Amino acid sequence: MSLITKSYMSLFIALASVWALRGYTPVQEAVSFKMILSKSAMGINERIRVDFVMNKDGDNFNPPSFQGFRVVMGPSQATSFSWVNGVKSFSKTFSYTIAPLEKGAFTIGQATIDIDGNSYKTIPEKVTVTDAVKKPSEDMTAEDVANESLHLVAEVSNQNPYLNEMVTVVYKLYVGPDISVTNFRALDNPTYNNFWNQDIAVTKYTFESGSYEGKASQYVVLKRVVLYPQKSGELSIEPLVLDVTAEVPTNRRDFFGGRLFAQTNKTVTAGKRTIQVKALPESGKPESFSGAVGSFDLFVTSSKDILNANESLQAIVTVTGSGNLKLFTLPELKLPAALEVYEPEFNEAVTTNQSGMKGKISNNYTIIPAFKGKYPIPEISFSYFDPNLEKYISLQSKPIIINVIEGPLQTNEKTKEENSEKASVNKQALTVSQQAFGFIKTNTSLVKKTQKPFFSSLLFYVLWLLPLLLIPLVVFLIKKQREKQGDLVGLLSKRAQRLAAKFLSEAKQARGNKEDFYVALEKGLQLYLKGKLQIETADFNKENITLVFEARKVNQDSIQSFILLLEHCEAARYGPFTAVEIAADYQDAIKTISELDSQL
Amino acid sequence: MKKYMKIFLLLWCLGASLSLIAASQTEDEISFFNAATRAYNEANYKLAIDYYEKILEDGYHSASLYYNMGNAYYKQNKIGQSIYYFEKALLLEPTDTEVLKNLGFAQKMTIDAIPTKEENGLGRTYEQFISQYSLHFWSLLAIGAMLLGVFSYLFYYIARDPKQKRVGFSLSLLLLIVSVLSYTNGFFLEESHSEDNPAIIFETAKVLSEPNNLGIQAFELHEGTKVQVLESFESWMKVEISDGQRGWLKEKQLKLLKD
Repeated sequence: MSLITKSYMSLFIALASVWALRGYTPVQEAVSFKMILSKSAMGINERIRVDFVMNKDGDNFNPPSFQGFRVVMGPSQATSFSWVNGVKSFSKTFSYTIAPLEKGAFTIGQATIDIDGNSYKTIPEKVTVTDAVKKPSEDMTAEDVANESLHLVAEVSNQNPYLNEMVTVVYKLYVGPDISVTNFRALDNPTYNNFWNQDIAVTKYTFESGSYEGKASQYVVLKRVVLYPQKSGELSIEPLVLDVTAEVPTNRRDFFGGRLFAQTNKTVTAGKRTIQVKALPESGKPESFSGAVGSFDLFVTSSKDILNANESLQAIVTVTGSGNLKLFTLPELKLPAALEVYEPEFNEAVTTNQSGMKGKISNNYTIIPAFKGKYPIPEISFSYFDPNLEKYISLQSKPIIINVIEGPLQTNEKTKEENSEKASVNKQALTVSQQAFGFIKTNTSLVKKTQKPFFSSLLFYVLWLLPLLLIPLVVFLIKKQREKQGDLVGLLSKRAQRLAAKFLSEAKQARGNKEDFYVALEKGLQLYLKGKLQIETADFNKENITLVFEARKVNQDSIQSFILLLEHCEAARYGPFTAVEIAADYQDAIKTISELDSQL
Repeated sequence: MKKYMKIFLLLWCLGASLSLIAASQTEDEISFFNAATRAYNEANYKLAIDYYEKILEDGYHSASLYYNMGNAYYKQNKIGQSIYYFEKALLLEPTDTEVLKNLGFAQKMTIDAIPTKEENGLGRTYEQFISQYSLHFWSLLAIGAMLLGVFSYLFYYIARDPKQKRVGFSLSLLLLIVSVLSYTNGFFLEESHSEDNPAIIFETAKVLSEPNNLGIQAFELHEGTKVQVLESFESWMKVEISDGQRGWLKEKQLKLLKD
């Protein structure tokens, strides 16, 4: 505005001097009345100047309605006379500065004026209003300048990271070369949904030189954030909004020619950024993978490997390196069930800086073995995804053996019971032999692997059942032998019983009476001989019997005892015989008869 | 008569000693065994195992051999192998206290502690009773009782004195019953042995609900745990652990005790 007035003022002075020199020219010219637009296409943020120029002074100037526009300034008049080589020229101009109200195509209508009693009109002209354009520098205000030279940029280190891969966001405020920032204040701090984030505090704001869109520019780092995306897919980072107070140079100068500065407040924002987070590849994902992304090392250590029972030891599982250390779980230590293990104590020593999390995390297990023996701390595996190599890497710890050298022994409950039983009986017995791991056996009897267990072998059945066969065999053998040897005792007794029943039954009944007995005995003997040898009762005398017996080769003892019996029978009729003698004679009779019987 | 008896007894004893010693072992195997003992004593456990393996390759085995192998593997901290060979030794000699003791040491190294399912009842008590003694013991008891029983019967047959006869008869009856019972015990013991198919886990195994990779993980077993194999399907085996849980795992993750 001031510019325009200034230029008009100088024009006026010039015209006035010309007028004073040349005076009036009477030459008549054709009347012209025109509308001149400074441009026919404009941005919505621009203004145009509309000039109505005539070459003869008139009255009743009537401007158009400027529909769709707003009159920013005007009307202002300018009149000029000039004589050039005796030719007088005149022009009068009505100027308007207008600004569009909206986008689109508009027509600036006719203006009218009366000159010398005639009415003149201008030709309507079309104006196209387009999107806002960059302001022409001559129109720049302090705000415009600040707009142009203050930029807040969020620099994302990786637009396309893997899940849990570190991303840093650095917020830089670019400041143009000719303005200076005096103060700033965050209006809105960004939120990082679906990210693990840590702010790296910026302690000192220092200007560094850089370039913004090709133009040399200074920048200051306002904020640094380390992010670990926790979700795959498109994630957005909400913008940071700052209120910046800046000093902008103006065109005005002070008395000494130095520029004057105008102070302005400006709200700048780093645009909303989106990050495309890649999911970790499914192929080749190890079983032990628990979400670690980065580059790590695994250590398993134990504080002791030889100790006594009921002493404690520490087993420490440590993962060191860089990556999302705080965001995954450590592999669990699987220890023998025979060990008493307490809940692990978690330690972390992780520092987070611009290059991400670094340090170590560890689980500290306290273990107390109660019994003697060897216990393994088995190997554990840990795997992580290396985003640089784009593959999974598995680490495995080395197994550790803990040797408990002194302490009570307990193998299982059964032996424990046995031990306690034995202990009550004899404590000495189990001190050495029961407590140590036994040495190998130095002797063995090897057998063929193919050999069936003895129980189901044929040999077993033979050995088991064969003795049963022994019973009939022995019985048979005994019988046979008895027959062969003519078992006297056995055979005689049987025959004697048979003969006695036949010939001596009367005598047996009469054992109570001496005389009856001997009569019956004699009669029985006679009957026997009669039946056996066909000897008549008349021939029944000692000599005769002896002869007959000898003829039949009966042995002398039998003959003698038979004769003796007969003599007894005779003698008993006259002499005294006791019951004992009777019994003896009866037995003798049975014996003698059966002896004879076997020989006859 | 006495001569026959003598011949019979002699033959019987010959058979019995043949069965007991049946030592068809050769000089080579015995020298391997002794070399292994020396190697073990010099803490050269790998070499000792090599010797034992040679004996096994030649087709010979014994409870002591398996026991020694278990010891050598224990010294090398190989839990699975160690328990495997101790269990193999126990298959041959179920009552060997030394094997049981060292097996206890080895079992302490295992990760899994599976409670044993309590089984009560008469059948269980009987099973426990008969498994207290080895099959060999029962077979020898059956034979011994039978032999003595037969002799007492013969004594009864020959004896004339009624008192002696009575003693002989009742003794023979008792011994014959003992013999038959021993045989029955042995029979059931063998039956129960042949029914179960134990195996030892050799590597950490996820036990799944189905014999495919889609199965839900039922539980996890670690090296050295003893399981019973119930059935197999392709490269999978259905196992039962001592608390009664069942599931499928890969064939290569375990090793059968009976081969």
